[in-house]
Amino acid sequence: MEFRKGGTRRGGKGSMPVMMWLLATLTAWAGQDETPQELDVTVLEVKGGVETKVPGKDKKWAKLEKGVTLQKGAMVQTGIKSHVLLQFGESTKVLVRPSTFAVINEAYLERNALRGDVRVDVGSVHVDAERGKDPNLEFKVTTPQGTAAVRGTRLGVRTSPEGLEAFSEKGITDINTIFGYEYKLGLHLSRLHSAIGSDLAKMAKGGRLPQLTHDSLKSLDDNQGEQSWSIQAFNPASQANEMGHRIHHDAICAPTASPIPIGTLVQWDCGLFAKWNCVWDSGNSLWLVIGTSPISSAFFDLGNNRYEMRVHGRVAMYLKNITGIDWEFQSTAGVPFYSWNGALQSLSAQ
Amino acid sequence: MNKCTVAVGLILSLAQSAHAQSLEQQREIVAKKAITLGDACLFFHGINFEANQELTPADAYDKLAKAGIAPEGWKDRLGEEASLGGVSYLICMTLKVEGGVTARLFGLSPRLAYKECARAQLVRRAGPYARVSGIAIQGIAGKVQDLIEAK
Repeated sequence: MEFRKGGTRRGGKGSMPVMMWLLATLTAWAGQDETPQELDVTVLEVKGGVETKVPGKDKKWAKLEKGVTLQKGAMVQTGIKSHVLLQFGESTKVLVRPSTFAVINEAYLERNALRGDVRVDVGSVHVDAERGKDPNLEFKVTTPQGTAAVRGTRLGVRTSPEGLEAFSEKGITDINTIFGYEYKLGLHLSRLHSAIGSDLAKMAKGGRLPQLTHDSLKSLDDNQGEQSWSIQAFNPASQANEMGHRIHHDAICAPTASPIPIGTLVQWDCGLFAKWNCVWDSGNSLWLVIGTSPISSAFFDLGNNRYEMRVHGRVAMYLKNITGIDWEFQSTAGVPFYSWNGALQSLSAQ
Repeated sequence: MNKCTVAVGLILSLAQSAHAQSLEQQREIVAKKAITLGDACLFFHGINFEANQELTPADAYDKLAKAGIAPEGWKDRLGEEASLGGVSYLICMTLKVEGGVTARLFGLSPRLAYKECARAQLVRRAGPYARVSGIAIQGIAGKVQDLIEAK
């Protein structure tokens, strides 16, 4: 009993500061609002014909006017030669451009940081997010072809049945396409255009891209479009004359090579003036890179290791190992002149 | 259900009203799997002249034909399915694209216009005779307006 009494007394004295600290922490924690707080989206500017509707609430579309506030779930349609400027919180403005169908998917504050999501079914939006005003903001533009996550930047996204087009005017934007490709616009690319076509769908059916579902493959097949990617190197000094690296996958993806088996040598003559660069990236495994032009530069991002490749003349790539990242470049004569594997951090000449 | 299907379903659900207000008219067109020449004329009338106004396809065509944007001979075919070639023709005339040597010598045809537009990635490469969906014409209209703005 004596021991217990003494122990309790000693414990009581020693635990007082701890209790006070705990109380203060709990008070501070209670004062911090962690529950998401829904935000109204304010209409700053309207030009031409713009209408809105909340599914399940409104029966008819209503004309949208300046000063009106929109809630989560509101659909916005802009007519021809029309636009609407929306304000999300204090930091982010979204310009819904002409001939666009957009939906406000999310608009709320979490720990005083904006969380926004605008879905664009067809058309384009420009996002101007000021990280200075809201360092922790998270804003994304969702399209049927992929998602552009804005990280404090000026970004434009256009989507249509032909594909997703995105460009970054300032800062970095993460682009995640439905194929699982990840790009960082502003870091190694300034503009990305992807046109989804049936060839890629055929390749994906081979199981190379597990993110694809049967439904998305079916819709890709239905698209019947040409599959092409154009990637423009991000190089402010030479942007004026380095634009338009264009790839046509069908040049390399003959029906018999779909999907290209490991060990297949892919090579072709691109012609003197062609400027083709191609990156197919599945998560962290860069599984096909083809680049060619007389003198062309391409910036490829492989996981966290960014590197630059400069290609001279005609090249081809020997795909040795998809997941192990072990591949080499060969000349059209079949002579390897660059090799690279997962252990190396840069290209090396042989 | 994939995202594309959801988007199409959503847009289809939007086009329920049949009133002839311009944005409603656009919603009705966007919901179509294959648009008509008249629908295409309505969109390009908006791009070239007054936008978002109540209009009949015939009125839109007349004005486009008078301005030399729509080809002759569509008057009695406005209910027919529009092709990528036909829409490409309207795009080229709107943007004043002259085309290559053949087009300059023999005049711009829907087939040559399609080549120009496909090269510029304004239309999908499905051939000049492929039909055009409502969502596609909406996307094309947006791109054309961007190009006009950029000029």
